[in-house]
Amino acid sequence: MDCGKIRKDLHAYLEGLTTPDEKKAVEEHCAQCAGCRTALEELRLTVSQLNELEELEPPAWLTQKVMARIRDEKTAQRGILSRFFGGLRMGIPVTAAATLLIAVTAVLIYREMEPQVGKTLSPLATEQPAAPLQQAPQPEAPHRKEQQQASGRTDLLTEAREASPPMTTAASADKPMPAPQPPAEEPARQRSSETAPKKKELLREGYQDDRLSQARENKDAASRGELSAPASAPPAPVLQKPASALPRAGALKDDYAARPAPGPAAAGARPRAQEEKAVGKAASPYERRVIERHANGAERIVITYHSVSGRRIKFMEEGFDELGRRHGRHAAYDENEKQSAEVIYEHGRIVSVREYQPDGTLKTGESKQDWPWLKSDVKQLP
Amino acid sequence: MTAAQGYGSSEDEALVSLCKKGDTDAFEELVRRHQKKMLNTAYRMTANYEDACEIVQDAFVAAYKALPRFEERSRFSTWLYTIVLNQTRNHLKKGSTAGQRREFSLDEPMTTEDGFIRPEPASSGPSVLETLEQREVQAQVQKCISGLDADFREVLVLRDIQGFAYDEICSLLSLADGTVKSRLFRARESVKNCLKKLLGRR
Repeated sequence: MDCGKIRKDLHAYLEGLTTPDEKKAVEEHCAQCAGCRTALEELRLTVSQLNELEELEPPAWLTQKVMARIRDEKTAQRGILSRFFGGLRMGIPVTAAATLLIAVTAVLIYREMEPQVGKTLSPLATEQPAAPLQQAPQPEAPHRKEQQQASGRTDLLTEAREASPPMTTAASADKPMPAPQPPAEEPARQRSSETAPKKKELLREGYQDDRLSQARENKDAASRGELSAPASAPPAPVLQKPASALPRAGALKDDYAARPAPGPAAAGARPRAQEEKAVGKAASPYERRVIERHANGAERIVITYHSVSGRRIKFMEEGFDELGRRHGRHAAYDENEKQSAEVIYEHGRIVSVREYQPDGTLKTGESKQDWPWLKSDVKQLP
Repeated sequence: MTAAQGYGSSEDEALVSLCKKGDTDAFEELVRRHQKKMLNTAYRMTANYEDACEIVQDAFVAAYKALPRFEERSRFSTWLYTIVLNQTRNHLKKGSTAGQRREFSLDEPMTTEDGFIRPEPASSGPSVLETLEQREVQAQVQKCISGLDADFREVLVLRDIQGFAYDEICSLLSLADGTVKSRLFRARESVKNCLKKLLGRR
């Protein structure tokens, strides 16, 4: 009996599909032929590895999404039917409804866009919140603001300052990127009002960080003094507010608070905006922040977002190096607490981006995520 | 009954006839019952969870639309599998032609102003390391499956992962028994060889 025939029969043999004669032939042959014996073992292992592949759970939303589509489909069909049967008389109401829909959509879109521009600009226009920050010996004001903006818990320098997430959290999370933007614009408060339109343009052009931060750097370089520095620097709510508050609490040198370059730090504000937006989709976002400031002036911030059930959905541990560039790791988790993505930064550069699938395998091929914030960070590299 | 059938098909029949009378809740129940198997089938075919979710959604919607024409000569689950496999085939075809629309590939090195950043990780967290070995094997197995031609992959997924009987696979794919077996055996051989290479087995 030749090995070729036996090798073919090995599959059937493994599954018990061979006739008694074939079975005997395979067994006798394998007793003598080491090659076929190995092949059989390897095949057995391969099949068992295939059998043991972990079954993935469907996402919780899958059924809902399917049913939503089906219900849409149903109403759409009904719509078509009624138009057929309703004839001309339906024409006017349908047109009216369509017009109304378009109008409402337009308003919604406008409102969706408006807070981004409007909100970011309002501090510019009013310039009113600049005062408490500039003279700022009370860390309370920024802190309260931070609560409103981030609506999470803040642990600062290992001593925990906590605020239970208020109901406004959900509400504010609904608005597109409301939170971190006012702080992102804080440096602008230093500037004269003539610069505002310019800023506006930059903002409209999709927050092009490189340009924005360059402009900011120039301006800041001009306007930054020893005292105003902390106030002009702090774009990221989490990092910078405590940073500007802390040195005044006496523990640290002013020097470091002024340190983070406005550009990269501003970039830090935007990813956070993205994330809070993403979290906003969850029923009630809840986040926990830990900010540490080490003796050498380096900062480390740990942010963990939890979903309403208390599960971790996002985790960020980032530091900023001495030039204020991002340094650390972001990780996202799915509803089963399995890691779904990881981004590693080193000195402002992304050194690795990985996406995981629910079985823990690395995702290959194209990413469904746009990762605009990552792209902008890449663009922004010095 | 094979592993692939899972639920009692008589219950499915009852639900199907309710659906045909316009009961969407009954269809929801069918979705609940079958989504996992369908998702895993699509996932093993595409190696992409998000794509698999999309395929399954499309398949269920297509199934709902086609339900009035479903003649209940075969089991509902079998019928559903054919839809999922068709959707998967379409998806794979689309993917091979429309590869250009990618926005940001995590696999490709990113080009930046100052050159090239390799997306290979500098480090990975402990949570990844814990299960690395097992996951590594699973990932390699999946990689090897993905390397197969779609025709071969289908048979392998249906038989060795979904646990269908040969005759079911034949009717599902409208193929002769000999074809199914020869495809399966060839698929297994190449997965075996691929794993040998990747996992450094002798």
